[in-house]
Amino acid sequence: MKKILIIEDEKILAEMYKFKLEKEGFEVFNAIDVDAGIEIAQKKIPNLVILDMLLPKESGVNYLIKSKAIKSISSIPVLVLSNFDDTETKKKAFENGAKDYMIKSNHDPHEIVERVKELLS
Amino acid sequence: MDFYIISSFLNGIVAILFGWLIFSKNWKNVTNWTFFLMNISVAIWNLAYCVWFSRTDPVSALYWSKMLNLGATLIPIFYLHWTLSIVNLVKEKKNILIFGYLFTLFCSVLSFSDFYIKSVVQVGHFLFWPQAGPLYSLFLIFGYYFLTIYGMYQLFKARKWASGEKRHQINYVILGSLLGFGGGATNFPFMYGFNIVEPIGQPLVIFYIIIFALATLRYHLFEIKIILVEFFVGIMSLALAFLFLFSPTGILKLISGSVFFLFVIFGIYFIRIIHREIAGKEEAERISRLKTEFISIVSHQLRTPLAAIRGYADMIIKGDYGIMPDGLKSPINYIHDTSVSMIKTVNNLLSISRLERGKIELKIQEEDVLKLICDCIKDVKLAAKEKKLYLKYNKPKSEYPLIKMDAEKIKHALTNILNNAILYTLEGGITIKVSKNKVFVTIEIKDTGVGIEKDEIEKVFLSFSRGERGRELYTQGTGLGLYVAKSFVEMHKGKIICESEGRNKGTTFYIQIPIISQIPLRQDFNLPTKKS
Repeated sequence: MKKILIIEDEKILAEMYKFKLEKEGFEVFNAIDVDAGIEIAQKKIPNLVILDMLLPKESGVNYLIKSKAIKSISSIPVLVLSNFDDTETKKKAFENGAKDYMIKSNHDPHEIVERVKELLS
Repeated sequence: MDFYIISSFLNGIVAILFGWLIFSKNWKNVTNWTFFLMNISVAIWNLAYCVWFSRTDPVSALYWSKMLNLGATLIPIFYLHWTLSIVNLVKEKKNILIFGYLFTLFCSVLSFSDFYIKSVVQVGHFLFWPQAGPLYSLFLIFGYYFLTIYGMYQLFKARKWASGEKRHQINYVILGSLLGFGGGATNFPFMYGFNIVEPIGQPLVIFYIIIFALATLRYHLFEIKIILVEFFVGIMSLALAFLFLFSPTGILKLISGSVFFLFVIFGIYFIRIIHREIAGKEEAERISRLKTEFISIVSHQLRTPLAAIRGYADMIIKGDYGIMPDGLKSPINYIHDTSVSMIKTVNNLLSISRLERGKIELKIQEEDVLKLICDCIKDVKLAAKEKKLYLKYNKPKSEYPLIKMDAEKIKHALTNILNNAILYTLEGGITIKVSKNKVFVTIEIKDTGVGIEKDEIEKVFLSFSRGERGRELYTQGTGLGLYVAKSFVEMHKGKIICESEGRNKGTTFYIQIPIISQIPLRQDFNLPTKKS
């Protein structure tokens, strides 16, 4: 079973994506900020990370930066799922190793699942 | 003291001072340091001119005339480099610049030889006017005329796409160039023994420096602008008044008096404009900050609950929470479709809000247009599938050049067109083709949808405008998508065209993006009006 880590502080969305992904046969873990995300990623070594950009304490970009420095999780692909659609944020995400960037409100959960599957294939 | 001695001395000092002020403000900026080097060259020319003119013996006069010509030799290449930096073409035109610098180096080495300036002779009331050596014509053709005309040509070209403040800046530079180099050109006939025109380069240099400095100051140096302008208008007015009082002949009194009068008028005019501009800018910056905060709040706080409404409704529809009772199907579909419609409205309103802030900053990079099309299709393919519409993309086999664009904005435009096509197509589907010629890459989006009546085609790109059939079929649309698409494509100096044979005959949109474009990275953007 493939493992997904969702780093998302909005509970209503985190639960929604978790539910959908579990329905699709993934094992899902949730984290609400960057540090918790790093910790769970190191413990569980997920196949993919879904990352929000606006998180408490520090930006999602910091997850990308910090995870690069940790060998065990540095190669895990990251799908950024954010409501920030400005070019600057996207650029920062891609520069720091994000594999893809989706705007949450522009996609239904099943579209996000499709993208997750594409990234894992 | 002679009129020319005073004017050249003042011009030299002013050139150094102004050049240094601009340089010290931001010496790393290519526009600033090239302006500084150009001014230093102008100063060498003027100060050497001042010394040369005051000489009483031909040997010394010949030496200083060579020195002043060294200054004149350096001006065109720094001018070209400066103008290219203004229009963001330094990288693209680096070969011309390399040629210019090598040629200028060659001429500079020659400038103290007899091949360049062979002697000084009396011409008119000038005791020791330099005479061109056999190689001086080379400098005139390839240095003075070619490099400066090429710089001005690039300015004129850039003027076509420039708008708002940028256009004014380019206008200033063109005016300064014509005055400065036009005036400078009057010095050359004497060097070839043609006593046909009075050399008027000196008095015009004042305007040349002031106009260039004003144009340069408009490039992110606003905080020092007012101080500098007032300082210079004051200094130059005094200097010109001094020149007027001490001009030896009636003609020179007339010239310097006219220059003084015009300068004072323009000086006061400039100061008033800049005062108004700074006050306006401060207010605009304050409003812009508020708007940015507002946009940030809207984008996050509004999109997050909408994403949840949309997402949960979609999961209920897809049966993730079990089989939905028949009676719930319609209401849940309404919830889903309405939230999607609201999200699109929010997205387009955010885009319009950004557009209406006036200044759009484009993030220009070289982009693969074919990949961009694939990404957009990927984003809408499920929406098409759910309406059982085909989505055909005839991907070309030939290679396409990378195109300079802001990919996000072009993607937004293309996605809006595709969403529009899906929305207004009930059966059949959408075919996407891409083609290219020497000028444009054209993306064609052809649907088998409800079509547009001929008399409505012109209105489809207006904000809040929707066709008759659009209102009949889909009441939630706002008519913002095509307006935003047109705005973003036009920011790239591209075109967006809509064609339809009429009701129920489908619609075809063409997005044309220039292959070789000189898109301003930062620009004022005039929103499309009803006439556009």
